[in-house]
Parts: sequence; C-alpha cells; structure tokens
Amino acid sequence: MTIAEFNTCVDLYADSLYRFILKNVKDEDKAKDIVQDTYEKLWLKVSDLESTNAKSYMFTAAYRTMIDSIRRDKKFSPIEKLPEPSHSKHAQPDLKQTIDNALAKLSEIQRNVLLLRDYEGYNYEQIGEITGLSESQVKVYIYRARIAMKEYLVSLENVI
Amino acid sequence: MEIDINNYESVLIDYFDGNLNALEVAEVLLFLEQHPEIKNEFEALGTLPEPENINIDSDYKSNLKKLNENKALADKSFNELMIAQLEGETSIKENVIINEMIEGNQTLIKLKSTFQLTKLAPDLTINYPDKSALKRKEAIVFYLNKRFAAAAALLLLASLVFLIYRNSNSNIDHIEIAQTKNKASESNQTQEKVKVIDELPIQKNVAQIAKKNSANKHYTAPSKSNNTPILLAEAMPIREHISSLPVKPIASIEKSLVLAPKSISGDLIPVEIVASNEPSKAEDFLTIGNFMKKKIIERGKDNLIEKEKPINTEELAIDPLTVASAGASILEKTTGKKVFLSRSFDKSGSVKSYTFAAGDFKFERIK
Repeated sequence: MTIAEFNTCVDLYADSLYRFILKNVKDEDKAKDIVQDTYEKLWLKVSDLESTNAKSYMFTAAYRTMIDSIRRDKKFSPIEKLPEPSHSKHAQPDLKQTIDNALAKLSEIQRNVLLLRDYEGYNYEQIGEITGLSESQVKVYIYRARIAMKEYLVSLENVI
Repeated sequence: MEIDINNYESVLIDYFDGNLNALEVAEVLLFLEQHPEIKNEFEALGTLPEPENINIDSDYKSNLKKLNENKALADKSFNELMIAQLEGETSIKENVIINEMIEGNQTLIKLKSTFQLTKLAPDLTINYPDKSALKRKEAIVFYLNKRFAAAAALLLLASLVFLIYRNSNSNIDHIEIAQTKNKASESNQTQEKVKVIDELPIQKNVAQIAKKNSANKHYTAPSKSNNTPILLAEAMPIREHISSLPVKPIASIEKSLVLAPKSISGDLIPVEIVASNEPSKAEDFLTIGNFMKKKIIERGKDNLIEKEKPINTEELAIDPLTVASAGASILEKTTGKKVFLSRSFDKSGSVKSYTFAAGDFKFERIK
C-alpha cells in the first residue's frame, strides 16, 4: 500500500470507523483515540497490506482495540446503567433515541455484529473474520439481536 | 407442520398453550375451516379462542396454501421469515408470497414495520473531526539493500578499530615525547644540579621506554678500581636503585633529586652529572674535577687544550685548586649560589685535602 492509498483509506473509512466505535463506547475522545490507534497500526503494516484488505484490517484492529478498551474500563469504572424506556403514556420518545436504547440493551457481541452488518454491510463471513466468530454464530447473534430489539420496541409500543 | 385428522388434537393443544407461531396458528385455523365438524365441536364447547393477531380472510387462506406449497418457508416462524427477508436471504418469489400473506393483515404489517426498525442506519452527520491528522505526508525513503547495510557496518567497524589502534599508539608516542621534552627542559633549568630524576619508567610499556632511555640514563655505582660508570639493567625502575647507590638525596625527591656523595672519605665517588642540553653519553660520566676541567675547556678559558681532543686527565697537569676555582666561578654564575673552595695541609706542608661547597652540596677530596 502506498502513502497515497493510505491517505485514501483515511478519507474513505475514518468516518465509518469512528461511527462504529462511537456507537459502542459512547465517548467521543475514546472513539477518536481508538481510530487513531487503528490507523497507527495500519501504518505499521502499510508495506505488507494491499489497499483492498485495508478496510477489513482496520475494522478488525479497531474492534479488538475497542474490546480491550471496554474491558479495561469495566475493570476500573462502575457499570453504567442504561436508560430504561419511559413507560409514561404522555411521553413521546424520539424514534432514533428509542432505537439507540434498544441497541444499548443488546449484549456487546450482538451490538457489534449488528452494527457491522447494518452500518458497513459486511456479510456473515466477514463479520466472523472481524469478530473471531464462526459464520453460523454470527447469524445466530444477528437473529437474536433483531428479535431482542423488536421485543423492546413492541413492548414500548404496547405501553404507549 | 402438517395438520391432518390424525394429529390435529395434539396441534390444537399446542395452539391452546400458545406454543405455535403465526404460520402454525394460521394453519390450524385453516384446518378448522376445512373441517367444520371439528370447528363446530370446539365452538360448541366455547373453548376455542380467537387468535388476536391473526385475521383470517380468503386471501390469507389462499396465501397460506401457497406457503404450504413452499415447504422451506412453511417450516419457518414468522419472525424467521421477517428476519430472513430483512437480511435479504429470501428469494424474490418468497418475498412475493410473504408480502401477499402480510398484505391486508394489520398485525403482521405492524410487526413487519417493527422488524424493519431493527435495521440500523448510520448517522452520516457524525464524522471523524480531524482526518488530516491521520494522514501521512510523502517522504523519500531509502530502502538500503541488506548487503550494502552489512558492508557499511563492517567498514564502520574496521574504521573504529583502526582509529582506536592508532590513538593507542599515538598515546605511547606522546608519553615518550613528553618525557624527552621534560628531560631536555629540566636539563636547561637545572644545569647545576647533579642529577635530575623525574621520568620513572611508567605506563604500560616499561621495558620499551626503559630501553629507549637507557642510552640517556646511567647511574653510577661505587667503583673502587676506576671511575667507569656502571650501567644498570634496562628495565629496572630507577627508584629501586637509588637506595642502593652510595649517595643520599638532599633535595626534594618529587621533582628533582640532588645526589651527593654518601661519604667524603675514601675513593673518589663517580657521580653522573646532567649539566648539558645534550643527552648524556657514557663517556660523559666524569668526576667533578674532570667535569670542571671540561667546562673550562669548552668555555675557552684554557686554550692549551683542544676541544676535539678526548679529555685525558693524566695529561692535564693542572693544579687542582686552579681548576676548582675556575669551576667554582662558573658554578656561581650559573647557579647564583655561593661556592666555597678550601684546602687543608698536613704537617709536612703538602695539601691533604680539597673541600668544595655549593649551597647544601659539599664534598671533600682527600689527596
């Protein structure tokens, strides 16, 4: 990969990588750090990688860095309680916020595979390579994630 | 699942328990429509609950028949069908069937729209704030061949070894040169001194330095027979032999050492004299009297003796006191110290002894 191709990777993937990380860590500074670390890792491999594999490599590196960061934070900080859905009949929750809440209710791995699937359009095999899961595991996690989100949304709808 | 007249009871039990998915419920209801006697039986009992989320109409029944024709779809629950459709895993034909099945059924439509909400869309307004910081600038990088790198390393190593070796040799040379210079300068400054010792053979190469200095450094030892200086071993340290000499130090031993006869009685004690800018030679080791005579000759005070000729004390029939007086005057001028000469006579009136004193230096010669 040339320097020009590296810079192209920055243009093409920095935003999507940042969105993917930010959706998980919910901290802009941490997300920026992880993206920066990811590009540092990519730079170290710049002579070995082809530009076609760069996106996959970056998401894999970012995913692992993010998991490490999340696990490290869990060790030193109390678990953040996710906001419960409002059960007030008068409340009119924003749809985007509701979906975010539903997403936050998912387990870490369910959320990641779902984000990789919907945000980046990776297939099951590619998601498996990034997350280290088998293809069938990815499929099951995505299925369970959608069911869990649907149930959260339906329960909210029924209450409202 | 296929319901027939033989297994409908168990299926209906699952229906009452709520274990059936939407498609199976629809199939049960279709079965009951097809078997009115069974439906009437259950309706008469009043125990058949109307499913809340399934609206049976003629289109649905026909769609259900189509689903039954597609066994793969029929085996899936409604959730699976929705998710499969959302994931794009169903064919166009299957999508048509599902859509026809859902069409007109508000519950299923609502359920489908809920599932569609689980399909996430990225927020494109969120962007990485500083992409330029991530970018790299073009730079010329020289990738050296490994062979060249190895050759360069070897050359560098060889150069270092050469420099170190050369420096170590030049250090030895410097030491020797410094010693020679010291000797020359001190000889200039202390012409009156009998002996100057400040260049002990030090450093590593003691034997080498001593060998080079051996031509210049000679130490006298008492000799009863004649005045011939005795050469010491080349590599032997000077200070070890000072104590063995029949002389005693009367000045500071640090920088200069003036040697005087240990005893003023007995035979004449030859003493090395370094009083010239020229390196001392073996033939330069003279007695005090001969040294003074030589000096007189050199200064041209006695034209009777030619400089070129070797000094033969036997041939020089000069009164010792005259020679000593001349030497004393020279010493007084060169050292700035008062020099005394005296002689004593015996009963017969002949000279018994000569006494010479210059500063702390004093010796007596008995005739």
